Amino acid sequence: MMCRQAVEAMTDASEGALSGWRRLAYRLHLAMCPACRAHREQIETTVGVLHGAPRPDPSEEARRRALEAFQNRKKSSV
Amino acid sequence: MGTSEATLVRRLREGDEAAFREVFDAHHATLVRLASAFVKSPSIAEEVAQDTWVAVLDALGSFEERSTFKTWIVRIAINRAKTRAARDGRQVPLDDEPAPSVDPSRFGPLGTFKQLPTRWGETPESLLARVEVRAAIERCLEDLPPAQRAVVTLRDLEGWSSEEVCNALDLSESNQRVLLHRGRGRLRDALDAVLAERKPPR
Repeated sequence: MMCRQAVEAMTDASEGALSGWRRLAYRLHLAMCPACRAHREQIETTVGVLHGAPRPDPSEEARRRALEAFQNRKKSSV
Repeated sequence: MGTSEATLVRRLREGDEAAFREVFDAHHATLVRLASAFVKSPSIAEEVAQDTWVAVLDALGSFEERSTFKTWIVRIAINRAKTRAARDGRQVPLDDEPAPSVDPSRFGPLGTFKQLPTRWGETPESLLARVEVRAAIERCLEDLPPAQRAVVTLRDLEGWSSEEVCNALDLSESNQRVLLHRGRGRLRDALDAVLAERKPPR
């Protein structure tokens, strides 16, 4: 396995979807290759950034509209 | 489905407003983010999310408890977003180019990296503290093909499991992995581009 294939196997690896010889080849390559380890670190940092990205709060307007829909529906079903 | 979720659905069916506030606060942002993957503007995404709540309330009676509630809501939102995108004449390609996730020019003839990828020397927290990083992430997400964006949104922004994402988006495990892989690759490129513009810290 070369870098070109190793980088494409990274998500399969982190998802536990590499099997047999491909997993072995991937592990061997990563153990020997600082470039692929650096790439993997960048991907992990990227995922960390996404995980940590703040979640926007719904606006007051959005909440008010949804609650209105909820109350209307309740009225109509009584 | 867990007990707490079953209780929540029962309370919703009984018209309990506190229960509705709870699900709204828990999921509204997710619906907007997800709808954004398909429709062309944030205001339309917000509309789709609002319509979704109405549809959810109308269909509560038919919710079958073999799927999780949040997966069910998200499926409704995605259907509505796709319908809306089609109505607005927006092309929503579900699959996309089978291109590699790393620019082929970064490899030499033998398929090895020509250059060591730079050490960013930053933690996710230090990166998120920077306005230009957050802006680059936003821009990159907006440019992702819808299916990639939907998968990255649920997996990485919302922290869903792959199983939940496959159920919500009707994807096979392997297809989900491909979309996640390409999406993460594009976001890595975006971060790398922002970080290349700064002077390395001394």
